[in-house]
Amino acid sequence: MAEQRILATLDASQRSALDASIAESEVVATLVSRDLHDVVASLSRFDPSGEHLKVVDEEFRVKGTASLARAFREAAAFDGDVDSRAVLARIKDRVRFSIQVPEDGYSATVAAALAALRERGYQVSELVSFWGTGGRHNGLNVTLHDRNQFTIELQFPTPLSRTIGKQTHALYEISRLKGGQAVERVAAFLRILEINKANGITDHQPAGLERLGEMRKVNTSLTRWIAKEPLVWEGYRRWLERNGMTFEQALEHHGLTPQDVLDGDRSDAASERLGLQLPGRAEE
Amino acid sequence: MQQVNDLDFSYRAVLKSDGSGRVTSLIAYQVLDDRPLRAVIWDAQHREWVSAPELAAPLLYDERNGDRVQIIDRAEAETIARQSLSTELPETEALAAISDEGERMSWDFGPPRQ
Repeated sequence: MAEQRILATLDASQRSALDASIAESEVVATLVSRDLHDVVASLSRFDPSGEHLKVVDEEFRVKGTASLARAFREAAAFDGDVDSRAVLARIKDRVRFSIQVPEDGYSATVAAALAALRERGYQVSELVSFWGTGGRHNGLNVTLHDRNQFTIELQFPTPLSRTIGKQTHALYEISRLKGGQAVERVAAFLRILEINKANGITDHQPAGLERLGEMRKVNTSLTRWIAKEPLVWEGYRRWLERNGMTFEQALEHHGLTPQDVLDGDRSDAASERLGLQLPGRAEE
Repeated sequence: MQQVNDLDFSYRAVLKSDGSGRVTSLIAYQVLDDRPLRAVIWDAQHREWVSAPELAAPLLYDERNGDRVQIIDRAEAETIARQSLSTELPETEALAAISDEGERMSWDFGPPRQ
């Protein structure tokens, strides 16, 4: 139903462009897949057991019609481009892959993988890190270009971050898409932090990411999310008030403490924004 | 804490995805209690104001788009509309009417084009 509604907003020429893009993506993905499997095979020294270092989730390697149509409509509506090919070319994840990397030696393994891809003619354009304590999401996204300048997204999860990603994906969609009311968005975010905590992701952050060179870091903490979009927090606070609850009680319901949500941003502004105090902070 | 009025809109400027820093669109939206997001966007491709909450939501709520969206007030939105987008920002009653029509017709991504 949602797919039909998105597709209905595209004219016939745009839909044809989408179909052509998916066909092109399938061809590109086949070639990239072969290269990635070769690269992973060449890195067996980083995972002698062969259990953890592997290309994963290949069933999602080409963005499907509904997802591509959404991305296309977003890009066209907000950027204003009328050339469909130009719009499609700027969508970073028409072809996307994941290489699961063992937590031990993570940075060295990723560095070796990127070096091997460069040797095969890929250009590494951008690294975006989501790693960090107290965040909603943990991972590393790399934007690649093949010899024909086709853009590819390559993610590097660890076994644990990949497991969490699967456990939290539906909640992520609630937090970011239209349907959710403010309370549902915040509750979904808190539930994700709860799952992160239960899996102990804070204690499983990869070391030595700086050796990968320049990268953009994205802070996915609750406080940063609220700072960017304060209305959702105001709506949530009104819901708490109507239901006679404090935020601390809501956190407790999710098995979280103030420290858990402030770990991603320990500034005074963050404490103030959430109306929380870290233990001992007042005396500092 | 105050209840949000049906005619209270918030505004965001949207920057082009190429990193140029150029404003190419605006979002006027409402987060009302017990209701899904209501959002009117400047559809830069079709050059018109449309109800499109499903397009606005990821810009507002996904951290990956954090550097593309700027918090602005109505006066700034009016200036940007006039100077950068060559249009006029509709009055709040008109924005509410566009949202109402969009909700009634389930135009979450804008109106159909076929």
